[in-house]
Amino acid sequence: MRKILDMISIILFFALIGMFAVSTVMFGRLAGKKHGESFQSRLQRSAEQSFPLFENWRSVYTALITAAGQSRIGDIYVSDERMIEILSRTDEEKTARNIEEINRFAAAFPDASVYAMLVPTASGIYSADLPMVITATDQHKLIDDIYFSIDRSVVTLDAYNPLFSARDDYVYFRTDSSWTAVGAYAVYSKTVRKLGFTPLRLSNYDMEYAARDYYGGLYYRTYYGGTSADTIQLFRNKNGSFVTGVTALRDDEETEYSSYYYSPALKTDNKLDLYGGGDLFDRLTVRTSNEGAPKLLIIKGSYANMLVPFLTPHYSEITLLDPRALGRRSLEELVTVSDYDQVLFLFDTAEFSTEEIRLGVHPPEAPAEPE
Amino acid sequence: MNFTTIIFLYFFLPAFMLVYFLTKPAGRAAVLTLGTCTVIAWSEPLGLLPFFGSAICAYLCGIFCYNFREDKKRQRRVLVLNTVINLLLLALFCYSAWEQLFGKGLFTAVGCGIFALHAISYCADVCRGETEPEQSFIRNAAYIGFLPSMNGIPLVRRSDICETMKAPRINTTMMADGIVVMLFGIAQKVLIADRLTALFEDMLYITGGEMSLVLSWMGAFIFGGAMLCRLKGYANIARGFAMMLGFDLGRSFDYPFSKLSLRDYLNSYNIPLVGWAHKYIYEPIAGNERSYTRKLIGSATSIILVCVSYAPSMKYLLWGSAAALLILFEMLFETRLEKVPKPIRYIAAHVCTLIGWGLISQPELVTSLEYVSNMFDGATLLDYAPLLYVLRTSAPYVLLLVLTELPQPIRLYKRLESRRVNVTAMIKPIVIFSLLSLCTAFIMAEV
Repeated sequence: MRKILDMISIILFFALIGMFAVSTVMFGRLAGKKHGESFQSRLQRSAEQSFPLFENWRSVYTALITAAGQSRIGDIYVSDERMIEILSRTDEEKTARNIEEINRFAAAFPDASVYAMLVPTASGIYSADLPMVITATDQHKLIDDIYFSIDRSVVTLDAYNPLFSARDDYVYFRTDSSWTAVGAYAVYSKTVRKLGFTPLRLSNYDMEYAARDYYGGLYYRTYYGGTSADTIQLFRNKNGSFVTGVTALRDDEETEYSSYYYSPALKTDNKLDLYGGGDLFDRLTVRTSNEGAPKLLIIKGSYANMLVPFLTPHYSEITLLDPRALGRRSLEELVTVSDYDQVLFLFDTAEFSTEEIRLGVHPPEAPAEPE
Repeated sequence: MNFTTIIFLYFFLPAFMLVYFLTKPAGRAAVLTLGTCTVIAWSEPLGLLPFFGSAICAYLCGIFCYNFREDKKRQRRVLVLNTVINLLLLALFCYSAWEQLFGKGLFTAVGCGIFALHAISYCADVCRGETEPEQSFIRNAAYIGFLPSMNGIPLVRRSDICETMKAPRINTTMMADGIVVMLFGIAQKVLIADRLTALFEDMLYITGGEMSLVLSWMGAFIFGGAMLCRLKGYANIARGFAMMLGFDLGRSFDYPFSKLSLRDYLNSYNIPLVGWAHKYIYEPIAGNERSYTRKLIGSATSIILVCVSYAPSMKYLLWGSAAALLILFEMLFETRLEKVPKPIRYIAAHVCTLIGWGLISQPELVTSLEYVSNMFDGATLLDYAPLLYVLRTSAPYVLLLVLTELPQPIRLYKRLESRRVNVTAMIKPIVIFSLLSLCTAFIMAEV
């Protein structure tokens, strides 16, 4: 009897692992090669990524961890209300280099009107909601410190206070680290005067839902099922769209679109790419029907995509340039700065304080003093 | 290849077991060697060089040692040569001595600690006449790089497995038990050790290094528990894997948390390594003479070397020296200490081990010393918020740790096993299914 039961145990074990292994090989695919990665680690990564029931394993883990009393999974704080990516470590060296890059830009183009806006992430706005022991960086102070170091010729725009005042509204996605269109409007309505315009009232817009059960990047990193799904809202101008055409540049190839909203994204997991293609394009030029209105160049992080729909009524052309897509190229190889009336640097605090922004711009040498 | 990865559990293990099962018992040593080569080459193909270097050296030296059994002088020379070569391999490919001396250049070889120490002990055993030299190179290589031990634990004595190695036979009950033990080991590593390690890092982070006195003692306990569970986990994986292959290895840990003295604690912690040190370091130094001083020197040297073998660095040297001093103290005043009430002896021994854990808990020696000083002179006595957080989050894992450290569950299992209606065999499939699911979920979380 014992032998039979032991045999059942052995068969069960090998049947289970064999089944998963075969299904991984049959339905999996080889992951893309990473720089400097050995074949073995690539194979290991592929097996792990193609492993059957990937989501279920992760959600079982999260369910067990949260049931055991933990509310933090990696750098993400999870609760039924929202997930928050905790910004707790900033890279001071990179931050200083990024500030230097903006200052160098301002020095290289003294005639351009340069603006800078740093948008706090949810961890800055909702820091009071985090458990006492989870220490998040004070983003208000971080933004103040950065603004203080930026050259005085650059006009800084405050995004912290508008978002903090609107924190009870739906200003950040519950399952993604991005802000929402509502958050972007809150900041737009308070800052656009500094750019020289009167903000349009919210009543000028019709709101529609592009997606009702959107699960964002934070969900796919934790698979925590307790937080409810998000909705992606679009604010359509009641008088019709101002956008007449969009030119997107990707890998030196230009594509024309009729709308700023990149609808193929709705069929993918990255539904937020609906806003200007997310970070898909190296450069995106939005043309509007406001002929004669000023032109705006946005040197952007991912947060900028949400704000653009509110800026289109004020400009004849808005160009978004992602410095991460520049590689070794200089900014001037993709845009002519003198063509624009205003230049706006728009990043979120996490991006600005942890990633390096390189524009490849050098201010002209100061003329030598006559002897 | 780490034994707690998807690639091992779901791909290597079934494929290897299939080949092993289909091969005749006499040829299984070759399959074992092939398995070892795959595990080494998976991490670093060049790692095969030190492995075969060690295996060839041990094979030849073993035969020479046996042939020179009448000429002790020449035998000793061969033994020294084998020891020096293997220690060199150990230093270069396991402890990256090359890197520390000359900067980057050499790789580390998986299982190098195991095959170097196996090679040394094998030749020493042949010299002492405790075992015959292995005539088959393949069988010798299968022992030198014993596949289940490739994650660094446990060391195996040749005399324990040489008979089985000739023709390993698969036994149904042993294999079913082996699967449970192996999955239990993986669970100890990924479910308890990894979580406790993460929690300890969390503790350091949330307090910014300035822990309260109570919290720093708790931190030392969590760090020590994590290290114990990690080693126990790997030892159980190896033991279970070996059982599946038809080898019986024996336990590597004997409930160290229940011991009354540091000496017993050390002797019950990674038993094969301590046994190895006793046989090949303590005995040659202490000799057969009745010199008490030589015995003390032998004990101190073996304790220090055991501690340093976990990671050769200054803090481990300090840890080993402190442990050696305390154990020598215990040995010198053994009779007097026995009169001290048991609870006091228990508390004293475990306070010392906690200080020891504190001493190796930090990456640098200076920060480690700061940590230990914090255990006596903390920023504050109690800081409620972090303490409550750590208590709440660590409670389930500490509970699991305590459960695995108590002898009662094993006793209960054995009692159930001896009953006429075999309950353990009945619940084994459920245990296997649950452990496999749990382990997979926790392994996938790290992906």
